Amino acid sequence: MINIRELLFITIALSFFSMGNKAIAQYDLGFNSLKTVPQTNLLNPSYIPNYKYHFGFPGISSTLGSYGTSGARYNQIFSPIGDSISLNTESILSNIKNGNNINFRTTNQWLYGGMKWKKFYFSAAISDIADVNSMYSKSLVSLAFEGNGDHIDETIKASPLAIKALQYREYALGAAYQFDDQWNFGIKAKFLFGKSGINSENTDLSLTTTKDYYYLDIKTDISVNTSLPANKKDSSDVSWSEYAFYGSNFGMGIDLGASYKLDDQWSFSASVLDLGYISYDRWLKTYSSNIEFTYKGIDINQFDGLSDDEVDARIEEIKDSLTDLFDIKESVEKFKVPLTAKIYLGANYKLSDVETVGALVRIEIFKGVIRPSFTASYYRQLNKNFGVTANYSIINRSYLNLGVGFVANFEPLQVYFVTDNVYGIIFPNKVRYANFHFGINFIFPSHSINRPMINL
Amino acid sequence: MNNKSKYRITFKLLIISVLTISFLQSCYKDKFKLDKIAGSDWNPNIAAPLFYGDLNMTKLVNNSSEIWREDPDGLLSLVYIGDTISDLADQIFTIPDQSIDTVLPFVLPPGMFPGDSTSKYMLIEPEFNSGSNQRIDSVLIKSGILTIEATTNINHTSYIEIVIPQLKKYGATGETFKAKVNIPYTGGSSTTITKQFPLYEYMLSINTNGSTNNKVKEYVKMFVLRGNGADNSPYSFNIKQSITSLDYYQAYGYFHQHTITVNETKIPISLFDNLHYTQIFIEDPILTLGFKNSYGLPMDMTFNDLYVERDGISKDIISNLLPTLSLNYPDFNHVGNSDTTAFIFNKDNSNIVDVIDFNPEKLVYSGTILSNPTNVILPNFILDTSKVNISAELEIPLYGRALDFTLNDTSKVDFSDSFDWDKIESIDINLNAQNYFPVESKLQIYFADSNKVIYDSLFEGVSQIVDAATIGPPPAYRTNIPAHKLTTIKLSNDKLIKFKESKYIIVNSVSTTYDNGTKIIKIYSDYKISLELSAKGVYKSRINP
Repeated sequence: MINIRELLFITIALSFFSMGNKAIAQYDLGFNSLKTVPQTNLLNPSYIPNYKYHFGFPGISSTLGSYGTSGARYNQIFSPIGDSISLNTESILSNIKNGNNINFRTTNQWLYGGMKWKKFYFSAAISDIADVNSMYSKSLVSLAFEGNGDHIDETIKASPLAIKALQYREYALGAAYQFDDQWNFGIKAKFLFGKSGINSENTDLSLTTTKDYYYLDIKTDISVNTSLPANKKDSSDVSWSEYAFYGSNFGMGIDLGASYKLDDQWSFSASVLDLGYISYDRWLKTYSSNIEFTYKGIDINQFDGLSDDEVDARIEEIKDSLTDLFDIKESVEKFKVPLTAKIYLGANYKLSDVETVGALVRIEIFKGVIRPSFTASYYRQLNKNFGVTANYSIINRSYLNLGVGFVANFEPLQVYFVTDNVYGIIFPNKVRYANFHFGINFIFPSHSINRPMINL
Repeated sequence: MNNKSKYRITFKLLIISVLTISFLQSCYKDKFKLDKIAGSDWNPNIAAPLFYGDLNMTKLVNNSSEIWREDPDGLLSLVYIGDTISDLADQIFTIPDQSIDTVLPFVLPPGMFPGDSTSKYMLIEPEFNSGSNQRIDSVLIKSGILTIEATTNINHTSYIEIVIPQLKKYGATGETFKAKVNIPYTGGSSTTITKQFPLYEYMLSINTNGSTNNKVKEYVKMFVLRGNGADNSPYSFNIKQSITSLDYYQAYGYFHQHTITVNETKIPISLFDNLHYTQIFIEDPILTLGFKNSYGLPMDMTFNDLYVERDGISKDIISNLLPTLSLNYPDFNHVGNSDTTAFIFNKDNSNIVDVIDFNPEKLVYSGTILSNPTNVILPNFILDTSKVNISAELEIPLYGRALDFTLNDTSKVDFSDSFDWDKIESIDINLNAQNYFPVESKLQIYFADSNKVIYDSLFEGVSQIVDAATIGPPPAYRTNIPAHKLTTIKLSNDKLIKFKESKYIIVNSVSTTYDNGTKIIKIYSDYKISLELSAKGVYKSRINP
C-alpha cells in the first residue's frame, strides 16, 4: 500500500522528470498578446474577439502545456558522465532557494465556441486540465542529500512543502459585455468534475538534532488527501470510462475580467481566474501523521537477560518500531481543494495600426504563496493573414525567457502557436520554464477582412 | 488569396508544426537521457543517537556470579566464602568390638525322671569395653551383631536365655533384650550352638545413675529337660558372647581426645583478577571464621595454614586470636543441634587490611580440630552425624580507594564480514556519560594482529571517558550529583580500516577513585552510570536507479 512518503517521492520525482516528455506551461504569458486568437478570452473573460462566431477544431483548438520550476533546472539536476547522466546533488543544492516550486499544467480543449450578440459575447468550452503545483524547501533537499550532520543544534523545517495535483474536466460558459467604448466586462462560470487529486492540507515536518547527544526531535503534522483510482478497494476494476466520465467530485469556479481602453493607444486589462474549488468524494484516502517524539537511540537495557534468539527477535521488533515511528494513519475523508487562483494585470500600447507593445503582470497564489511573473510583448500584424509576437518574461527566478509566436488567419481557418521561451522549446533541459500553446480555430469575422480583427 | 491557397498554407503549417514537434521530441529524448541515468554518489553527513542505557550496581549485582552483601544503607560488599566439613563422628569416634566368655555350672537335682525339667538363673556382669581412655555411658545402636556361642556337656535337651535389662529396644515399648539359644542333645560328649542377634535400634545403657563401672548386667537362665540318658552331673554351660560392627546413632560418655583433620581449602578472590599496576586500598575488610559444631564436646581448632596468596607469594593472616580457636558445642539439652562460634578478624585485631591491600588471588587455610582439648572429663555426646562446619567468609566492602584500577581484556575478533567499513569516510562518536560513581575511568583499545602484536590504538593517547562524581562528607561519602563527561572519538577511515583488520582487540581500562585516588569512597547499590552513544559521520554510498 502506498504511503505518504512514497506518494510525495513519486510526485516530486514525476515533477522533476516530467519535463522530459511533457514540457508544459501553465502561465501562457506571451499568448496574451495574440489578441486575434479567441482563446485569449481564457486569460481575461472580458476579451471579445472580433468574430461573429467561431469554434475550435475539436480536440486541438487549444492545446497548451507548461513546465516551470524556480529550483534547479534539469541540466543542473543531472550532469553528464560519458554517455550517461548522474544526479548532481551539489549542483541541485546550489541552484535552489529555501522555497522552490515545481509546476506543470496541461490543458486540452475538446470543444470550444463563441459568438457575438449585440454587445455581448458568449463562449463555451469543454477542457481537460491537469494542474500540478508543488513547493519544496532547500532544507528538505539538503537533509536528503547532505544529512543532518551539519545542522547540529538546529531545527530543519521541511516547509515550505506542499503539493496540489488536480486533474479535472472543465465545462465553461462565458459572457462578456461591451459596456461602452472604453469598458468591457466579462465573467466565466466553470463546472468542474475532478478525476483525481492529491492535496496536502498540512505539511509541517521538522527535525532537530540536539547538540552532543544527537537526539532526533521529530515533529510532524502532515495530512495529505488523495482521490485516486488506486484507492479503490479493487483498483483493477476502474475502467477508463469510469475514470474519465464518472460525474462526481463536483466543483465550481469563476473567472472575472475587465478591460479598459484609455485612448487610441493605451488599453488596460485585469482578470482574476480560477476562483473556486473541487469537492472530492470518491476513491478517497487521507494519509496523516501527527507526532512529536524524541528518538534517543536503542535502549540496550532491554536486552538484559535475553538469550541470543530472544535478542534477535527483539532487534527485529526494534526495526519494525523504527518504521512505525511516524505513525502514518490512513482514513477516508471527503476533501475540498481550492483551485489555484491567478491574477492578470495587463497594459498595451498601440504603436501603430499593426504594432502593439504590452506588459503583463501575472500573479499566482498557491498555498498562500504569491508567485509573480512579468512579461513584455511585442505584436506585429505582418499582413492580413499573419501576425507575429515576441515576448520577454521574468519568471521562476529566470531572466532569460524569450518567446515567439504567430497566428495565421486564412478564414475560416486560424492556426496559432506561441511559446514563452524559444530556448526552452529547443533546450528544455536547460531552462526553468518552458511552454507551448497551439491550436486551430474556425473563425467567422463580423466585418470586412481588411479591418483589424480585434479592437481594445 | 482563394480558399484553396489558404487551405494549402494552413496544411503546410500543420505539417511543419507536426514535423517540428516530432523533431523536438526526438531531441528531447536525446537531451534528457532518462534511460541513461547512471546513479549518483550519495555522501550524507548523518548524526544520530545509537544506543543508551544504564549500568547500575543493583543490576550488576543481580547479574553477577559473585556473592554480594548490601548493608542497610546500601553499601555493597563482595563476599568470598569457603566451606569445609570435618569428618563425621562415626569416622572419628568408634566403639570397639566386645567379647566375653562365661562358664556356668549346672547340676541336675536328684530324683528327676525322664520328662522332668529344671532351670537355673545366674547373674553375670561383664564389663563394656569403651576403648582407650573413653567412657561410654550409653549408646543408641545403629547396627551391630550380638553373637552367642553356647557349649554344654549336658546329655539332655537344654537351652539358655539371656536377658539384658540395660539393653532395651529404642522407642515407646522399651522392650528388654532377650536372647534364647536352644541346645538339643544329639549325642556326643558336648554340644555347641551359635546364634546371632541384631542389635539395631537398641539403647544400651551402661553407666546409669552416676555409676561409672562400665558393667552390664545379664540374667542367664539355664534350662534342662531330663531325657532317658544318665545323670552325669555336674555339667557346665560355656557361653561366649561377642558384639561386632557396633555403630551408633548417638553415644554418651566421655570420648577423650581425638584429632580431626581440616583439609586445605582455597577460596578464590576474583576482585583482584587481571589487575596490573593497580593499588586498591580497602578500608574495612573483615574475615570471619565461622564454626558450626554438632559434637557435644569441647573442641579446639588450630590452623596450620591461614594465609592469602598472589602470584605464588603468600602472606599470613596474623592475629592474637590465632592459632587456636575454641569452639562452642551444644549441651545435653540440644542433642542433635549445633552450636556456632564466629571469629572476626578485622583491622583492630589482625593484619587483614594489609592482607587485602596485598590484592590477593586466594585465601588458603587448613588445620586440625582436637576434641576435649583440656582432657578434663566432662559429659560428652556424639551423634554419628556429628561434624564441624568451617566457613571462611572474606567480606571486602567497596569502601576505600583505588589508584589505576587497571583491567586488560583481550578478545579475538573478526570484523571482516560485519560491515562495509569502506563506506564510512569518517565518524565522530560521542560518548555521553552521566556518572554517579566517584570513579573516573580512562580507556584505550588496542588493535593487534594474529600474533597479538599491537599495531595501532583507537585513541591518540589514553582517553578519559568518565569523570568521577564528587563525594559528600564522611561517614557516608555519598555522591549526589552525577559527573557529566562528553567524549568525542574521531575516527578516520584509515583508523576504521585498521580496526576492521584487527584480529585481537585489547581493551585497557584504568580507573581511579575520586580526586586521583586520594579520597576514600564508598560504592552504594543505587549508584549508576548512564551512557549514551551517538555518532556523526559521512557515509559514502551510491544511488542507483
